[in-house]
Amino acid sequence: MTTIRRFCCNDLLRFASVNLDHLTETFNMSFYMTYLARWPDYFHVAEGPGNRIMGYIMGKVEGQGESWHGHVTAVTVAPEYRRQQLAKKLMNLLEDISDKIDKAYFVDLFVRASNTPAIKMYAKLGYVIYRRVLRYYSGEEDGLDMRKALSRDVEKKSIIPLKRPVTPDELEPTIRGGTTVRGPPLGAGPEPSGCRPVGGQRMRCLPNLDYPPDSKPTAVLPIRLFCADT
Amino acid sequence: MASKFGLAGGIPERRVRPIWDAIDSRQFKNALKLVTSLLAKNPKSPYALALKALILERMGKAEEALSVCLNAKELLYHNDSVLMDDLTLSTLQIVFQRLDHLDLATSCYEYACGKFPNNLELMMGLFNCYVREYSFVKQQQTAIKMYKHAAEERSLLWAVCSIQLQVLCGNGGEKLLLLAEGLLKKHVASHSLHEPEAGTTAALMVYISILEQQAKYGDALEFLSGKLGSLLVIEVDKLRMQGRLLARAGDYSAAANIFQKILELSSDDWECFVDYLGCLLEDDRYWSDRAMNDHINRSKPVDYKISHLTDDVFDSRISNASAFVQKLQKDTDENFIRCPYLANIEIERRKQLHGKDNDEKLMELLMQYFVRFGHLTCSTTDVEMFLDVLSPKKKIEFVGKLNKAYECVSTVPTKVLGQSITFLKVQELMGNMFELPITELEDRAVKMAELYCKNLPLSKDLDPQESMHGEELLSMLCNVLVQLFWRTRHLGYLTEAIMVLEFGLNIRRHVSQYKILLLHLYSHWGALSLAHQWFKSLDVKNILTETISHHILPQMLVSPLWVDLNNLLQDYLKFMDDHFRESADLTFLAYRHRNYSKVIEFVQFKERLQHSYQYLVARVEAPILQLKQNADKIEEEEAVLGSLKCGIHFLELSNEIGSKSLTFNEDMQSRPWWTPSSERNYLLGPFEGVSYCPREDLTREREASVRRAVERKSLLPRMIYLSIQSASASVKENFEANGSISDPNISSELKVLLERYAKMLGFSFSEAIEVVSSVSGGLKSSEVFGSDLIDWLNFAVFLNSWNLSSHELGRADGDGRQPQTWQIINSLLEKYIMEQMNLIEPSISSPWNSFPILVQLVTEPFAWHGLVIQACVRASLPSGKKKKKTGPSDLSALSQTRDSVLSLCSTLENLVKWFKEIINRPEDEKLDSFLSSFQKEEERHGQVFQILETLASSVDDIDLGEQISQALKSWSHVDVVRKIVTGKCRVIAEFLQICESKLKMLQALKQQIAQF
Repeated sequence: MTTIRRFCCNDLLRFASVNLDHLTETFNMSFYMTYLARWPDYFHVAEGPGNRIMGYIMGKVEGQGESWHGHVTAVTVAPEYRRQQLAKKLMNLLEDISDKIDKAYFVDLFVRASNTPAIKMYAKLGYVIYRRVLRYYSGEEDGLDMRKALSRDVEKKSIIPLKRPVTPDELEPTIRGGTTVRGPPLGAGPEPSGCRPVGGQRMRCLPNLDYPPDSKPTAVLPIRLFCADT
Repeated sequence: MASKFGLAGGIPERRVRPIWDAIDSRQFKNALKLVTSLLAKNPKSPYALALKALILERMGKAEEALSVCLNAKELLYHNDSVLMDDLTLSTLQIVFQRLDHLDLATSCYEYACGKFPNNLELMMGLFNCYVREYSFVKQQQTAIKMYKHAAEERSLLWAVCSIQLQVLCGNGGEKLLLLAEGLLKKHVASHSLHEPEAGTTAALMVYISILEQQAKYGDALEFLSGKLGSLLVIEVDKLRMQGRLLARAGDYSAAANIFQKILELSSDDWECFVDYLGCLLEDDRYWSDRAMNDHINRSKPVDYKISHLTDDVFDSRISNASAFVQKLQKDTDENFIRCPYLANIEIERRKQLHGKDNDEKLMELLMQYFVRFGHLTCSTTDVEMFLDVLSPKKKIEFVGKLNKAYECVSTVPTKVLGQSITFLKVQELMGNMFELPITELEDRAVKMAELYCKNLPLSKDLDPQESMHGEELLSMLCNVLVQLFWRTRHLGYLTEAIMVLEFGLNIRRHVSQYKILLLHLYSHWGALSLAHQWFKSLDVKNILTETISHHILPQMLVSPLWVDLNNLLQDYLKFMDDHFRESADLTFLAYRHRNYSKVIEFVQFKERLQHSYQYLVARVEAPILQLKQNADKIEEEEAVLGSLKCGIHFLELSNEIGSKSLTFNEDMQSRPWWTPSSERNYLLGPFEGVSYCPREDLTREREASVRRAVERKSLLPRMIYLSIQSASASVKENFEANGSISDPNISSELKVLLERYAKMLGFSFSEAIEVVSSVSGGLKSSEVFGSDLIDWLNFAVFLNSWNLSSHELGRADGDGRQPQTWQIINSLLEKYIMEQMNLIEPSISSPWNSFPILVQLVTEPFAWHGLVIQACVRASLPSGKKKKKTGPSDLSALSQTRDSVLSLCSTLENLVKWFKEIINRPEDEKLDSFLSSFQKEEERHGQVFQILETLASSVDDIDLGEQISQALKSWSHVDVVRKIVTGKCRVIAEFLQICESKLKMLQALKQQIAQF
C-alpha cells in the first residue's frame, strides 16, 4: 500500500514518526533542502493509507567519467511499516533513476561496519563490499563502501573490491563532501550550496550555509539502518 | 572591470589564497594578519577590504566589520578606477547579510548594474539579492533584463517563476500568469525549449503549472501529449499529471482510465486507487479540495459528498471498479501488496455512503483483510478509517468475530503474536475498553503482560538495534493501566504504568513510543525533570523541534526548571531563525539548478514556518522567561526591558496576532490518548470515556485559545515596564515639593493596556476592578477567575501600579490608610498561594496537579508585584548628597509598601517551610510512600508489576539471549522509584531556590524601609 512520490518540504513536518527512530539522523534544514534543490529525483517518500509516511530515501548523483554514480545518502522506514520490503522498493527506484535517467555506472552507499542487519540487506539487494573506509564515522567506526553496478558498466568494473582498506583522506573529493574543510563531515552528502569559484580555481562556500562546529552532526551517517526486511 | 585571468578582485590569486585558507580553517587571527599586510600594499582595494570585513565579522566584531564594509562600498561608489567585479560584491554581500544589512548589499549590486548595464554576472548577483529579500517583482524585472540581454532560456524561466511567486506568495493578481504564459509561448515559438536535458523537463513543468494555475487544463494536456511531453522519462509521472489534469478539467472517465493504467503498472498505489475511484464516481469536490490541500494534515479520508450519479450508473461504475480490483488481486503474487484488498473495503464504504448499507459485507471484507494482513504491525492503522463506519453494536460484533477468526489461522509464532496484537489494537481503537468493567480491564492488562513475557524469547537473536517482537504490547499495556487510574484514581496503576515502560526501556533503550508515554506520565506526576530527561533522549533537533517539542514545552513553560526551559527555547528559536536566514540562499540554489517547483515550495515553506504558532509562543515566552529570571533585581530587570525596547515590539506583536494566520505543525499522532493536545489532560478530570476513532481534531479549538493566550502574554513586558515607571513616579511625586505630576503618558498608556487586558478576560475595565475587589474581599467566589487565575492576578498587580500614579481609585490618606488596590493584591496573592499549596498533598508520591499553578503564581504576579515594590523603595531612597526630609505623605507611601512586603514575606516563608519539610524527609520514607502505592496486597493493582518482576527473577531459567538476559538482571524497580523521587525533589529544589531568592530580596527591602 505504497504511494511513492517525490519528497517535498511539507513532508519534513510529517516524518517525525520515521525520524524518532534512533538510527535515523535528522539533518539540518540546509542539508535536506540542498538535496531537494539539486537532486529532487533522488528524494522520494512512501505514503500509506491516511497519508502516513512509511519511509523515505534520499540520494544524489555525482562523480566524473567512469565514477559517475548514484549515491544513497539515507534510507529509512518507520517501525510500523518494516518487514514489508519497502526499503527494497525505494532502493530499486533510486537505482532505476541512476540507471535510466542519469546513465550512471553504479550506485553506492556507506554503512557502519557493525550494522550487520543493514549490510545483509544490501547484499541481498545485490550490493557488494567495494572497500572498507577506516574510521569513517566520526573518526571512530569503520565504514563499508558498498556498490552495485548498473547496466552502463557492462564489465562490472566499478564493483571489483579493493584489496586494502582506505582512509577517509583517500576517498574521492565528492564523497568527502567537497574540497573545503568546512563542509559537512565525511560523506555527509552534498557540498554546501552557494559555492562559487574564487580566482577561477577553487570552490568556496558561502559561510551562511556552512556547518559551524557546534551544529556539526556528530554522526552524519549516509546510511542509517533500521532492521533488515525479511 | 571584471576580474582578469588569475586575478581575484584585481589582486593576484596567489596572494589571496592563504587568506581564504586561514578563514576556512578558522584561524581568524592569522587571516587578519595576512589581510592587513595585503591592505598595506593595496589600501584602496575594495576586495581586500571586503575580506577584512569578512574576517572581522567571523571574529565577532560586527561593528568594525560594518564600518570596513561601508568603507569598501564608499570606494566602489566614488572611485571610478577601482574594480567592481562580482567577486568583490559577493564577498561584501556575505558580510552585509551576516550583519543583517541585506539592503546595503542590494544597493551595491544595483549601483554596479547601473554602471555596467550589460554585465550578466552582476545582474545575476542582483537577482540573487532580490531572492534574498523576497522581492518577487524586482526578481522578475531583473530576470527579464537578463533575458533581453542574452536570450537565455534560464533567465526567462527565472522571470516566469518570479511571476508565479508574486501570484502564490505575494499580492500579484492572477492576470500576471497570462503574462508568464505569453512569455513562454513566444519563447517556445521562436526557440523551442532546448536547454540541456535536465532543464527541459523543468521548463516543461513550469509551462504546465502556469497553464494549470489558470485552469487551462485542455491546453496543458495538449502540451503534455505533444512532442515536448515525450521528454518526461518516467512514465508514471506523466500519467499522474495527465490524470490530475483530466480530472480537474472534469473529464472523469478519461481520468479514470489513466489512473487505471497507473494501477496496472503499480497495483499497490493507494492514493492512485482513491483517485481512480473518485473519478469513476465523478466526485468533483474531491478534486477541488485536493487542489488546495496542504498535504500536512491529511490524516483522515476526505469526506466525499453523496454521489450525484443515478443508482444504475453508480451500480455499474462500482461493479467496474470491483471487477478491476479483482483482476488486480489475481495478478498480484507478492504477499505484501495490500492495496487491492483495502480497495475492496473502500468500495464497500462508498456504497454505504450512497445509501447501500451492507454491514455484513463490510465486516466480511474487513475480516478478510485482517486474516490476510493482520500479522503486520500496520494493519490496524491501514483500516482505522474504515472501522468508524460500523455502528457501536456492529463494532462489538466484529471484535467477537475477529477473535474467533484468529483462533485457528497461523502456526508461525511471530505471526500469531502479530495477530494477537492486532486484535488488541482493534479493541483499543473501537474504544470498547472504556466500557469494560474494571475487573475485565485488569484481566486484559494481565493478559498483555503475559503475552509480552511469553514472546520475549522470540527476540533473543535480534540485533540490539532492531525492534523487538511485540514491542507495542507495553505501550498498549500502559494505556490500559492509565485508564484504570483514571477510573479508580488509584495511584498504584499510574506507578505500574511507569514501571512497565521503564522495564521495556531497560530491555531496549530506543523505543521512542515508550519514551513519549513516559515523559507524559512523569509530567503528570510532577517529576518534570525526569520527563525532560526522557525528552532529551529522543534527540529532538532541527525540524523535529517544530513538530515534537509540544510534548514537553508547554509543561516546561510553567515549571521552575528555568535553565532547561531556556535551552529548549533557545535551541528552537535558533533553528527557526537559522532557517529563515539561509532559506533564501537555498531558494537561489533551486533557481540555479532549474528546480522551479522547489523555488516556490521553499518560499511557501518558509512562510509556513514563519506563521507557526509555536514560533510565536517561543518568541514571546523567551523574553518573559528572562523577565522572570531577573525579577528579584530591579536594575537587571530594567536592563532586560531595555534590551526589549521596553516591550513596545511585543505590544505591536499583540496587535497583529488577531489578523495573523497561524500554522500548527506539530505531530499530534504521537501523543497519548489521555492528553490529545497540550491544552487537554483527561486525567485531571473525572472519568468520562474517550472515543479514539476517529481521533479528535482539536486544531480549531486550540487556535482560538492559543491566540488569546499569546495576545495576553505579549502585553506583559510593556505592562511590567510601565508598572515600574508608574511606581517610581508615584513615589518621586510624593517626595517632590508640591507634588509635581508624574508623566501622564505612563498612566494613560497603562490604563489603555489594562482596559485591553480586562477585555481579553471578558470584562469591561470597571467590571474587572469590581471582580478583583470583590474576590479579594471574599464577596465573590474565586470561581469567577476560572482557568485565568494567573491573568487575573496579573491584572490586579498592574491595576495597583497604575493607581499609584493615577490615583483614580483613591490615594493613600494622611493616616497611612492604604488605597484599596494595595489590599487587593496583597490579599489575592496570599489567598491563592496558600490555597494552591493546601491543594497539594504533603506526600511526594502524589501527582501534585496544582504545583504548576503555584509556580506560576510565584514567578509571575508575585514577581511583578515584587518589582513594583522594589521600584517604590528605590524611589524613596535618598539620592544625591542632600538627604531629604521625610514628610507625612512619604510615610504613608512607605507604609503601604512595608505592609505589602510583610504580607509577601510571610506568605513565602510559609511556602518555603512547607516544601522544605517534604524535601527533607528521609529518603527511605519517600521511597516507601511510592513503593507502598502499588504493592499493597489487598489491592488488585500490582499484578502486572508482579508478572514483570517474576520474569526478571526467572531470567536464568529461560533462554532469552545474552542481551535481554543482561538487561533483566540489571532491572531494579527500587532504582526507578529512587529516580522518580530524585526527579521530583529536583523540581521542588529549583522552586525553593526561586522562593528563597525572592524572600531574600523582600527581607532586604524590609531592612531598607526600616531605616527611613
